Amino acid sequence: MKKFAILLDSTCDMSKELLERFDIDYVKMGVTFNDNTYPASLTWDDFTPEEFYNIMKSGVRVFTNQINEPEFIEVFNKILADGKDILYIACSSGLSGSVKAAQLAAEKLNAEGKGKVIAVDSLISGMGQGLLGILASELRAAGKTIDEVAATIEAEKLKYNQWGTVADLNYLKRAGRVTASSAFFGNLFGVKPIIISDTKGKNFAYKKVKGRKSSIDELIESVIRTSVDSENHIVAITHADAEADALKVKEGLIARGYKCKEFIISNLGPILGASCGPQTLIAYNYGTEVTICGE
Amino acid sequence: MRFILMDGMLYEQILRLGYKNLVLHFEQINGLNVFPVPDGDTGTNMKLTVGNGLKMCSQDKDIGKVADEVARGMLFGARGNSGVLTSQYFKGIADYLRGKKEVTVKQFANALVEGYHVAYSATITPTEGTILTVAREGIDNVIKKIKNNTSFEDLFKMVVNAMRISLDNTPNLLPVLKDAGVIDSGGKGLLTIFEGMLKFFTGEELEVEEEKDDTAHTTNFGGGLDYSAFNEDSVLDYGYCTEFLLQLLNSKIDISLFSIKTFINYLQRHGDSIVCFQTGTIVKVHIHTKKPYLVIRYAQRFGEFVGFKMENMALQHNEVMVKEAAKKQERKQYAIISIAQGDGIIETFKELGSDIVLNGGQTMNTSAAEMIDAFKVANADEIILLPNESNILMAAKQAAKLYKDSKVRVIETKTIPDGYNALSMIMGGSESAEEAYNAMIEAQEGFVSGFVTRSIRNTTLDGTKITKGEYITGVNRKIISSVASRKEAVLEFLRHAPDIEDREVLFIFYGQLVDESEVEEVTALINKEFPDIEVGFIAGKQDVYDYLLGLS
Repeated sequence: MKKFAILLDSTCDMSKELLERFDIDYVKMGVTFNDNTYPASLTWDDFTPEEFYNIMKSGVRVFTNQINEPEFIEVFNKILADGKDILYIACSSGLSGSVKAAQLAAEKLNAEGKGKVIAVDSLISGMGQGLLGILASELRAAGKTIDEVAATIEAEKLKYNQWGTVADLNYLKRAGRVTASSAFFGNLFGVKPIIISDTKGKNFAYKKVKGRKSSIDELIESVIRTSVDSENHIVAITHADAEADALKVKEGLIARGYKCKEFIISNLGPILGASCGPQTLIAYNYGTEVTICGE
Repeated sequence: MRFILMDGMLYEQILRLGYKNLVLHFEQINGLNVFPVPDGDTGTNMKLTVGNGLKMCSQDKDIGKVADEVARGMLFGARGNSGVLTSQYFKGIADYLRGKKEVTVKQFANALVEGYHVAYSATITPTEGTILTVAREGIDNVIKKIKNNTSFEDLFKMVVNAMRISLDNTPNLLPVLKDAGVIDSGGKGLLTIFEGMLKFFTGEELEVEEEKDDTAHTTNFGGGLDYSAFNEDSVLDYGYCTEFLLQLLNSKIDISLFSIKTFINYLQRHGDSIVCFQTGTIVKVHIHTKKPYLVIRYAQRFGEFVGFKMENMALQHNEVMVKEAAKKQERKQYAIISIAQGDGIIETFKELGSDIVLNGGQTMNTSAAEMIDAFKVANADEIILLPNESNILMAAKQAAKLYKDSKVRVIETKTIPDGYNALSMIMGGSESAEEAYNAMIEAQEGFVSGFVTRSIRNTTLDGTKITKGEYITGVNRKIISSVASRKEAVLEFLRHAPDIEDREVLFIFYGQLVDESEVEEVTALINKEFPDIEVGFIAGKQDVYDYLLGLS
């Protein structure tokens, strides 16, 4: 059976260790600030997370750039030349145009007959997307074909739940990547929205809670409430310069007797970090299918 | 003259004197306010409530009919808790008088009993030492003395005396009154009404400068006009639609020399939308003017009126607006209506999702009728109402009960910070009425609201000694400190707030008298003393309260 590479992109928030451990690679998007563009590296090559979030806290605006079709063609060609097919699990179409660009590239390359490229819309981002990559990797290790893995990812993707809380709504507002009523961004003090990835793969502020402490509790409750077969699945908690809070989520779950296969705590990568801002905290779990739609 | 029967005409006349007496004494009644803050005052509220009752009644011999109209006017025009209780009292009287054309002294006494029964039942927890006690003791303590030959004058004399004694006793029943050294303001208001009513029988005249012609009868203008659209706070934006037929008179001028052009020139200087023409010796005029007296005075130089009609265009305008708003908007599933004062606060509430924000609250308690107007404009199946002031809560519930075209629910927000807190938790968008309602109810748990304002008198309240001119701090409406420095007063709020260790956010609405630099200084002081609390502030631009505070 022909080998295939599993590809994610900069929004997947997978650490270097995780990428190596599961043999996953990723396509780099870009971040621009202070008139410089850097590849959105998950290994933090050009700056550390602290430096990045300090820059954001100082008020400097950070822009994100998606991957375009020529870039995909270049990346895909290299892998195809190695004799591998490609399964690309892309950042949600609701958040980025990357998957569309990838699908166009895939069409072209598939027509050329150099190999098979499948681009799947994850309808989520962050470690939700990362968990899908891990699932694909485990299925591949178990001997499944690229088509079987792609089909499973399609079938399972909406079962990966996202529960996010941000400290400052302004980053989300500026990035324009949250579905919420216009009243939402009004003068709200101490009110934190809980942000999920809805059925259209968009970030939807579906609930409000008061204060950081309640937000953390809400994340814990939500994971417990929606988990299915938790012992066999990973719970991922990502944070933007808020490790203590990420640990609170983990400890809170353990304290309530929650059992899972593994807790993964990692940093928010620069793409998500730029959109959500410092102090962002997101928990991901496998479980009941997402049914809420923000529209 | 000895009155032993009362009909509708007499009832209206004595009530009018009761009202006039309130007009003469309302400021004195306001001064009895226990709370040393110039907020919604009992005297003003009762005067306006009773006044609306008189506005709405006709001159009719049928006492049952008149009493009902009076009660209805008061129910709709009720302002403040005292106004609501007064309206309920007169409703009780109307309930007894219904179906009767004229009544004896004994029957009227029974009506007064029914009055206080209904007033008591209107409150969830009736408190003694208030208007309720005065209403009750005023009749209960004298009803046995009524004989077959007791006249109305005798009755009112007895009732007034009994009310006076009851009123003097209120400090013994309600400790806050004793501490403040005052008698109950609502009780005093009721006594004032009855003292006025008594004056009818004793022949005393009451000279009162009417603020405006507030005893006009609705029947003269035909139905449909919404009088509450133009009230004590209104500004004459549109003026009067004035139409008349002027008969030119030889006794006044040489009609052959009358110049319609000159006449029109004058009109044009004082109004617009002018239609003016002369047919024979009659001049027909239609004009929109804010100063009708100038037009009238001018016209009367040339003749006298054979027909005259004038209407406040705010009423017409409002009518039109309400109809248009209703037409324009498709019936909504639900609407949120809140009451606030201060331009910044009103703006914020609108941004947060309040479909309508009524201007009112602390300084002028909104009436039930004003809320009902808003319900109409909202045009929704369900309405959620946030009164944001403890003294409007009763009127809000009354309005909700009176209005039949929508399901109206009241969120019991007692302060503006309560209202802000509730609104900040709604999602908007596709959220249902039920979800919004629940979010607002949930939001109130544990929330602490407070204020800082200048005390208008020396007093002791809630165990705190208050000095006139100092800045008093309230925590959940309980006064906990009186200090000379306004900035210090804000810190006192945090020092006395419950569960301060669990608190994360303080927000501040700062009022008209506070500038932003002071708020920034206060924020710095708070950050020093309470580093774990995030502070946010908005220019509320409100009156009365220099700082409105919310802690969650």
